[in-house]
Amino acid sequence: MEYISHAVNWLHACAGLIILGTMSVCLLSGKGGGESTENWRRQCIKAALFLSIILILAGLGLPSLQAAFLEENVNAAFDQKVLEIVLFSTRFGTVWMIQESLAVLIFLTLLLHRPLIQGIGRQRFLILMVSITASMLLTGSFKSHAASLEPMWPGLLGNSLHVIAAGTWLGGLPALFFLLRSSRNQTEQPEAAVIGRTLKRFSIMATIMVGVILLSGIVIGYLQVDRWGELFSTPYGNYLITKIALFLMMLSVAAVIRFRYMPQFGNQASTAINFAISKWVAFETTTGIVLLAVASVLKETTPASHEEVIIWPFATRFSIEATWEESSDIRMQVNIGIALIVAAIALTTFLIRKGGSIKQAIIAGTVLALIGLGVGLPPLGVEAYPDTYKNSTVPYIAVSISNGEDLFRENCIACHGEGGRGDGPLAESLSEPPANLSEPHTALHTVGDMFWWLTHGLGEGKPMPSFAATLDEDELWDLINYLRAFSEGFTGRLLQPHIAPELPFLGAPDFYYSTASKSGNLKDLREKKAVLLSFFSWPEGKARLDALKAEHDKLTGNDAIVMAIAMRGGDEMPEAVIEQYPFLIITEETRPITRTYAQFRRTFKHTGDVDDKDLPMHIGFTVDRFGYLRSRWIPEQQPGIWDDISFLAGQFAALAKEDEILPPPDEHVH
Amino acid sequence: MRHTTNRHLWARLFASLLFLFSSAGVMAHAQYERSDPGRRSIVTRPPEVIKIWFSEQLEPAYSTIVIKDKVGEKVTEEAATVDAEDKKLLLLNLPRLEPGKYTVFYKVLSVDGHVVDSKFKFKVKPAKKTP
Repeated sequence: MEYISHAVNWLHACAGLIILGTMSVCLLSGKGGGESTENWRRQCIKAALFLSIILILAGLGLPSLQAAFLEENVNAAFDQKVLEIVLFSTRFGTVWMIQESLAVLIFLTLLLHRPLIQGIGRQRFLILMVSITASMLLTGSFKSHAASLEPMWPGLLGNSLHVIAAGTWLGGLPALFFLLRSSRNQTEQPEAAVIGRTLKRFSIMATIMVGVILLSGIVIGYLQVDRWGELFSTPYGNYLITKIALFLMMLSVAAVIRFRYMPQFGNQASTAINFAISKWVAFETTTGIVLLAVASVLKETTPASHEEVIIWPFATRFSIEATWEESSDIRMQVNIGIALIVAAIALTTFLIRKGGSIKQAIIAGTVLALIGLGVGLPPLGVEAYPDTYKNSTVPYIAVSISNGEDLFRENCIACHGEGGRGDGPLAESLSEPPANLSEPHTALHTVGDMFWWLTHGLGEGKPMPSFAATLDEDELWDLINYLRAFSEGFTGRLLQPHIAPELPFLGAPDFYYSTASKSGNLKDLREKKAVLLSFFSWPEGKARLDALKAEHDKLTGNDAIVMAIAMRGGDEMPEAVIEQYPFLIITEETRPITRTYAQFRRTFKHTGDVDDKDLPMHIGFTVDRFGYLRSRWIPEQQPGIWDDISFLAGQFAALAKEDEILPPPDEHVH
Repeated sequence: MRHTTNRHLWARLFASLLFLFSSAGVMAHAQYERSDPGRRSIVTRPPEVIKIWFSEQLEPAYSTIVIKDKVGEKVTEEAATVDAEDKKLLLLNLPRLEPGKYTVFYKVLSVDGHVVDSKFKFKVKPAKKTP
């Protein structure tokens, strides 16, 4: 079924793109020409008519394949009820009906080409055909991933332009091939004029399409590409690399035609040159059709960013962010490498412009570029493991972090120490000192690296053992989430009672709460409200809660809300008292939340280490509407500051004025 | 004339690479974002409705939630619905849940035609006894 699905999608894509390309090339060929070019034009329309039948037939198979895919059952492909749902209750169905109707319209227009050409003229007929086919292809974007992005239009526009650009270039190659082989007497006018004109115009159109592909590629890439490492570690990535190789092959062919044959074509048109070009065009077309087959498989393969089985095949990966800040030597070496590559481009360009041998220029440039890569790339190398790009299956949320802390206490402190500084009771007896886990979280290690170490140990001869037998996968991710929060807690020492304008640097872990009247997640407020998280002890915090109540309106005037979370004594707080406050007071199951946010209590003076681990009676945080912790107040250490509610309200007013930013990095931990 | 052609070729090479790379994440899935009750949460007040937010808009016809109790019995036969205003939110009304552990199974289809299914657990604990 899978193979049938790939084949049908491939046929559908090929048919649509080649009709568009063929009609475009016919349009570009303009008027005139001899009998052989007229014959070629007629053949093009016949071929397009044949392809439109394939388009319709392949299209007819798509709903059944979608039904079988959704139901995970081949029989569903013929189940009327399922097909009805697919066609009439999903966006796929709506888009399919429009596309299939347009496919029928394409067929009918081609079938009636004679009266239509007589009525409106051939050029107008071709413009009509290009318009309908392009519309059919553009419609498909509405069931692509681009359609589910927010905002929808950049991805949709990018995807649509991409398809059209690819169609007019790749889809036009077969028509170009047949034009080049349309006559054995092409040295004579008017055939030579038509072929020359078409080639020239096709070249210009391809250049324009390159611009379109470039811009739309940047837009789509920016919106959708996640991690390049997944290219080598997932089936999706492997198909993609195959596609890249095929594409490079196509471009090499295009280069051969451009540099080897086109100059000859300019001097003297001949059947021999046309035939030689046509052979290369045929090879380019065949490669393109194979490329479309790979693209059809890709379309139905689990995307790399959502693939669960991600196996990195190399012992090294390259990462600028992991290495750039390590030392000035690294930066210098990389810069020298970049300079050599730039010099290679400049040298190649200079030699070609000077009129020297293109081959020699390319060889010289390639050698210099390879030296540049040899110098600049190795310093960016970081040790990698098969799980380096593995995706976390457990979100970075309080309940996971809290469970991870328990697991850390049970399994890790003997070596890493209670404070995670690598100073546990067994540390001195080990062959190598355990890692200091309090060091800032860096890009040097991915969560996948940590997962690998926890499941396999650090390797032969190293003291860190495997925990695969004692912890299940969820627990391993809990532990990793805790280690992240623990490490970020040290970064949190920079938090002050006042916000640093426009400078968010620390994500606020999400948490779930449930009270007698309300339940939800911190994240529910994302892009809506800033939050004052007030962690209190009961009854000691009553005065603070009363102060917040008294100035509640002032505090919440700038799209902010108050959430009070009991660190201690929540169970002792009567419901009747809770109801007196105009803001949310969370007293049930607060331990995961408190433990998570306790990580961010650390200051440079009060380190939060083993000898200083007592929680304050009260901690306040501001969280901006994009999910970042922006300021912190610990009354015992900084008395007075947030007692002034006007000051606090002013902070929220400043946050409300800040421009929209992206959510904290790695929120969907990969 | 020649240098213009070269520019075209380089532009074409770069664009083609981008075109190919840009397809890297073209297809994605509706990922679980958050829920009420939350993953592994413990609640005293039994939820009347379960809400799950996803990263992408959902197809109502193919988005389901099934909740089972600790012995694997379905707690309701009612079908999940996609919120009328927020197409990323899947809802299921619940009967009154007794204290105990529950598993939420969900299967969703995003508008780009891809399916995701997974599960999570939550627990309803007995209400505090009032004197």
